[in-house]
Amino acid sequence: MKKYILLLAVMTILSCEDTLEQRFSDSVDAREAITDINSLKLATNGAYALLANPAHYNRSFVLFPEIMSDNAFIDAFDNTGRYLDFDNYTLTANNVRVNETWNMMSRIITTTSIVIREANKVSFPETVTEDVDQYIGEMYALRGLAFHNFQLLYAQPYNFTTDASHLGVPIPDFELLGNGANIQELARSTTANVYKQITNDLLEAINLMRVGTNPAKMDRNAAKALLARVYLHMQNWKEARDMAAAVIDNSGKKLLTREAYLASWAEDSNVETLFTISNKETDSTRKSSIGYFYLTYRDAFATDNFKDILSDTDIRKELYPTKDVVNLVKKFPRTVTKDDNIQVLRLSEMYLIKAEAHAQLNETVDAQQALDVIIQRADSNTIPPSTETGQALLDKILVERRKELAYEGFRLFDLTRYGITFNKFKQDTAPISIVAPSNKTILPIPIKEINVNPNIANQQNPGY
Amino acid sequence: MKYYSFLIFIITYKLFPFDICNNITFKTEKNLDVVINTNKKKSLYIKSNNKRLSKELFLSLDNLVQNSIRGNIKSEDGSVLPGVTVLVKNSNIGSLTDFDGNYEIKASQGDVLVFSYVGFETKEIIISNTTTINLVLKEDINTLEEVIITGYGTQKKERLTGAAQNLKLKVITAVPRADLQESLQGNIAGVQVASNSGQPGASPDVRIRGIGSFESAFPLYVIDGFQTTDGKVITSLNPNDIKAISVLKDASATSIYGVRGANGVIVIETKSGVSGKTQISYSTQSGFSSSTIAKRFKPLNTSELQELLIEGVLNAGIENNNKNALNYLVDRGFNPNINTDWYDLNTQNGIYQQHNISIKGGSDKTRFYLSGGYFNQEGIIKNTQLERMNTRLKIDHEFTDKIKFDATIAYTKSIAKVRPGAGKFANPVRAIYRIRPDISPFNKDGTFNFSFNSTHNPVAQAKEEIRKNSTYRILAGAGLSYKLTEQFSLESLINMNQAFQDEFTRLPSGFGDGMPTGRGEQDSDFLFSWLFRNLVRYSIDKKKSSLNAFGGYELQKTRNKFSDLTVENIPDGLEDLANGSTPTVAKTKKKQNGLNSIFLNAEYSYDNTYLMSASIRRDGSSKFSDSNKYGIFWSFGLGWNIANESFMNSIGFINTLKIRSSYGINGNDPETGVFDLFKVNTYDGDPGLFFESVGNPNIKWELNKAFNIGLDYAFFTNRIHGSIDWYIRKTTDLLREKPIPAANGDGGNTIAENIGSMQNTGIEINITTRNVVSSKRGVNWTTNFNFSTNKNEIKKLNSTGKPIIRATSIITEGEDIRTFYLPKYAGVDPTNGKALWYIDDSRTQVTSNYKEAKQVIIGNATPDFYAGLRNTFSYRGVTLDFQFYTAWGGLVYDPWSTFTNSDGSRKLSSTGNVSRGTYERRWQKPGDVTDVPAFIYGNRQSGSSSQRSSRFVYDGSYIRLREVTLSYDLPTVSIQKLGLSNARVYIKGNNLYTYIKDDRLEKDPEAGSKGRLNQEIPISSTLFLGLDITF
Repeated sequence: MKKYILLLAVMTILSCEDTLEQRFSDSVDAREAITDINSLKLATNGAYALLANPAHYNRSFVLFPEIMSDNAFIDAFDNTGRYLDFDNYTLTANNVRVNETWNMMSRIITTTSIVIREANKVSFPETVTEDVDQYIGEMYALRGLAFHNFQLLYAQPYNFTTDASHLGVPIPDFELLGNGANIQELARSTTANVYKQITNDLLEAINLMRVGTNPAKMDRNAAKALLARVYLHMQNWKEARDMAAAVIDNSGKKLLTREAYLASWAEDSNVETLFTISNKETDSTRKSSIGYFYLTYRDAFATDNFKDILSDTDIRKELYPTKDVVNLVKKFPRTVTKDDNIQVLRLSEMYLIKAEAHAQLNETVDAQQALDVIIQRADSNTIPPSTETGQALLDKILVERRKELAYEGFRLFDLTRYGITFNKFKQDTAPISIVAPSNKTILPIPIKEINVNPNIANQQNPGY
Repeated sequence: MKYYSFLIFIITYKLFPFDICNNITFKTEKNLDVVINTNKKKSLYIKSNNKRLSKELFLSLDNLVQNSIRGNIKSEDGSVLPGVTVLVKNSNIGSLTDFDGNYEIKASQGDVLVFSYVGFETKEIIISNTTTINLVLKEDINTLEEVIITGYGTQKKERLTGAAQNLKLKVITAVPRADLQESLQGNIAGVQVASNSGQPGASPDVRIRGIGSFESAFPLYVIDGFQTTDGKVITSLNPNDIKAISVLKDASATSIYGVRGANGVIVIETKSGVSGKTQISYSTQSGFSSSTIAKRFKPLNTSELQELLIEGVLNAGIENNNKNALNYLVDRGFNPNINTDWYDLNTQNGIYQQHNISIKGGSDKTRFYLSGGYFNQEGIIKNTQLERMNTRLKIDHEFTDKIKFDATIAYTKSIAKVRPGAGKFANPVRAIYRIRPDISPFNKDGTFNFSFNSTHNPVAQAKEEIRKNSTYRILAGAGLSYKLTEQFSLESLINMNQAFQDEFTRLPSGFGDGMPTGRGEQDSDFLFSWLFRNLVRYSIDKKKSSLNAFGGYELQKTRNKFSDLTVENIPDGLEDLANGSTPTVAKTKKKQNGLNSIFLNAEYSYDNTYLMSASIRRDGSSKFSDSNKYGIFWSFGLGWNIANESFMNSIGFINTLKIRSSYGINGNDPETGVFDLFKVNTYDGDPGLFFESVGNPNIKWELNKAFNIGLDYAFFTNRIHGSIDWYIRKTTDLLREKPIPAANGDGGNTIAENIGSMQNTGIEINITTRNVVSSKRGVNWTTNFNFSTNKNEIKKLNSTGKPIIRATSIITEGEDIRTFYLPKYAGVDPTNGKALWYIDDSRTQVTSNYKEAKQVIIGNATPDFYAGLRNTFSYRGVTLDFQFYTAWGGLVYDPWSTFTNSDGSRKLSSTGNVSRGTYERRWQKPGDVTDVPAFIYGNRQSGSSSQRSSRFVYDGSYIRLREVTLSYDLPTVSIQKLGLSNARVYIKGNNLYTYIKDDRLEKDPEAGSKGRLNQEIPISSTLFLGLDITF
């Protein structure tokens, strides 16, 4: 009897702790995520993957500005039901796409912020200082990019109020992020503050980063190019002009030739790529990609209104072949491997920014020259140099932006930042006239956010 | 001369009852005495001058006077009972009745014969001087004679202070349900079972006494001591191998399971061998399943859709006459000449068949049970099926009187062919309701047409896609018990569950999810879990006091290893994931969790009248942080068998009257996030880490505080018996993934918190009446009725009480956990056919602009009551048995209705077919009063997929004829010639009829515990023939 009790007691003691062991096999405690240069490198790379999410660059972010503007509409006869409310201008705050994109933008900001903060706590050996700076710089650049895209979608443009005092997106307390004990319920910041955050992040990024070789990663030139775009939206024409010029002059990037232009869209990157979102055939979200949406689901097409502005000799027109009665969008043409990279920043945009900024500053000749580079590159006919000035020049630049940057997620924002009234075309019914300034050209704050965040509950965008 | 005396004795011994010949001494010559001692050691020895000469038994009296006792056993209705166990009490001698109910056993006068048979009262007979004992066994209708299995042992129901109920075995065995859980539906009060899908083998939702957790309200299953909350383990069992099932409902019964006891416990014991003649049983069933959806809910055909679309085009003002409108549609792809019945193309009458064979037998010391089963059921959707093979071996052996050993090993292989569900393009049910009838699945040349539904052609997919889920499972266990003394015994148990679950998908290129180059996917889950338990039991019966207690410790651990592999670019026609194809996913993931526990349980009864029980358990769970790992749980129960009191003796009609009550605290430990985590991802071909989730280190288990009071009764010689229970259980520290603002960076935007408390209260009534009882193979009629209610209420939600609002639901204090929260639909404006919604909950103002309508509380999914009614009629060998089941009063919401009731907004989308309700009830002209708006081509006022509202909330009340059986037990005489001891043929139907209260509801209302219809395979009705034989 005694020996059994003894045995029982021994076994109880021996076997207690083992069964309660915890284990992570594919994750790591946030406080231990960044301990050295390797883990910093990992976390940096991981943040990019969030940009590649379909809720951001791989689909939604490059789709919203097209189907909500005059560039694209959804197949009215046979669609998968995706994004219909964007096409119809019937968005509500409980739209799942609105929600997932809101979340994804926030998530990039959180991840980059935690990485920046945690990396600054680690004392790295001096031999890797340059790498550390580069990685941290990339995080600043991605955060700046995320804030800007976030702002573009959910808030009115910078010039909506004279001092940009209108509501922007929330800015978290970066120090408190990544800790379940500090849940933040944030009110929206002013647009001015958001843009201040963006420019600070990008300046810091430029300061920390070097010139890189992998266009799938941010480098100093990419951050400068992004900053040029941000200044353009801020109507800070001088800075926009100078930043764009700096990239054109010093980045070592070259414009694609007309001959190489079409084929470049099937390539991972090309000579003018400043920053691209990398997609690999081994990535998991390819069926949710923008290319799959345009060419396999064939859910959306280019409007005639868009295609008609392209002359027949314009090489770019070939990106929009007509099949049956619709114009396909072939900027993301890898239908078999479904791993199109998404061009985020390319040199062509810098020329157009430079042109626009010059024009706004009444530096007409510089503006015309920058514009003509893009116009002439595209057309197989010899196009005479631009002679327009003033508003006509600006209009021409905007049209060229529409031609060059179509389906890359620009159009709606070009219309709204200039307060242009436009037609939202539909495939089989009359166009919807979107009168500027419209409440509906920006997305609602998701109902889920409104419901859980008392500080944002009264800050819904008007009209939703 | 001396031999004469001896002879006389023998004769006397045979003639008279044993008692009278104790210590009889026969004086003989030469001072030799023959002494017969019959007190304990039955012996016969010879004394000489009081000196015992033969120390060794001269002759064992047992041997000397043992007789063959023969007899015949029948039931009250006169039918013979084969397979009745006949045992000599306190011995290892046993026998079974044969096919005629006859038995033969060697026993001595004075021995006690025990006759027992499942479902009948056990009878003990002292052998007197007769060699023939014929008996009529009474059916065991007195529930208090039942034994409840607790997983830690057994307990007489008579002595139970808790609420527990047994599932009658015949409810399980003769029913062709792929899983055991379904057999609980409607048979046990307080157990709510709702199927989510008609996919054969899909585990239904099982809830005991309501939903007690946001995260995991599954009951705990205990199979021969092994504990799991994984319903799939139960689904893999062969119902024919089950010996007993007890459902433990209140704290007194479940607190011994501590941190896993909160949501009830279902205890299952599998069959064992029996000593005696080897018995071979075989049963088979064969039939088919068909859809329960009434034909009238079939989606529209082409002419109906055409009528609707033309009306839509006219209503939209696009064209002004029918001809032009049709041309308009034809121009846009409508084809009036094709009429495809997607319903017929996607559904089938599924074949159902089952074979089972079992062999049981054994010697005095060693017994075995061996079985094999084959189950095959096709779903009513093409290319869905479950095929399962089971085998089980159980052996028990007695080393000595004190040491017993048993071992079980069971192997299951099940292969399910599945089709995707819910909103997936490849979902055939979605295709039935959504794809336009004027689209053909074939091109003119006979090849498959892929030009619609984003290349998902359900006919091609049924034919060419492979989606196969296979599970290979071994459940094994061994137990050892050692009886130390009369009071003390030790028990040791080790159990393991090993499963390899394999999901294989192979999609050809060019259509559907196969994408351009074809795709193959292999997802595996290798699971190993074990349980190790040691117990000390103490039991003592002294005079009127009886105490049973046990204590021990238990360790459990579960490990999973998942591996996922996806490749693309596989040549069509090759099934396997070919080498050299493009791998796109290759990953593994591991998971583990464990429990360690010590516990103590005691039950005391005085005179079988005053009962008391208590239990305490300390659990450690790996799911919480170090500071919150351990919890203590307990229960206390009291019972009073009033009928056993002497003052009740005069009240003759009361056979049983027992009041029992219990209170206790147990727990629940759902898996939620404790840690802030970075997780692995990939970018640009390299691995990365991203911030995945915020965790809460302070979370702890949920506490369930349960009170139960119940009454067991039996009146009029048990003609009426049953029980009534009332319970209240309050679950506090409820864990929930609480939504948080997106800025915190958690992808799901949630954090786990012990946010609040909820309460379930309910009444359970169970009554069985034997309406007609006649002996001699006459008419018998028995009715069982069970009824239960459960009211769920959220009592507290975090410190602020702020509701948790989702797109269609709300969790808020004072409301049910499954509360729908949607804009309230106000019907249709009769003047113009526009949809109207109430602006707010005051319901005073309506609007035709959906956006102006606020979400309001619509109601909840929890039924007001559940009830099951079973009637059994028998006449001679013919038995008719049927069961009705109802879940009455809960709402169901169809989130996909916004697509099928598009009011024309989907125009000519290939998935733009319209529900029959829209067609039949649409507003057509001013003055029409209806709930379906006008059909307008390109409608924007109503019918958009985002216009969720109470329009698509239905009354989910239904009454279902769940089972009907007509069986015939073949007369003994006729089957005897075939060498059979028992033969029964029957015809049986499941779900033959369903009454749906809400006319608007076009789908089966059984929608899981959440009350959401999710385009899943509908519940089927099954009709089949069966045959049971025993050799």
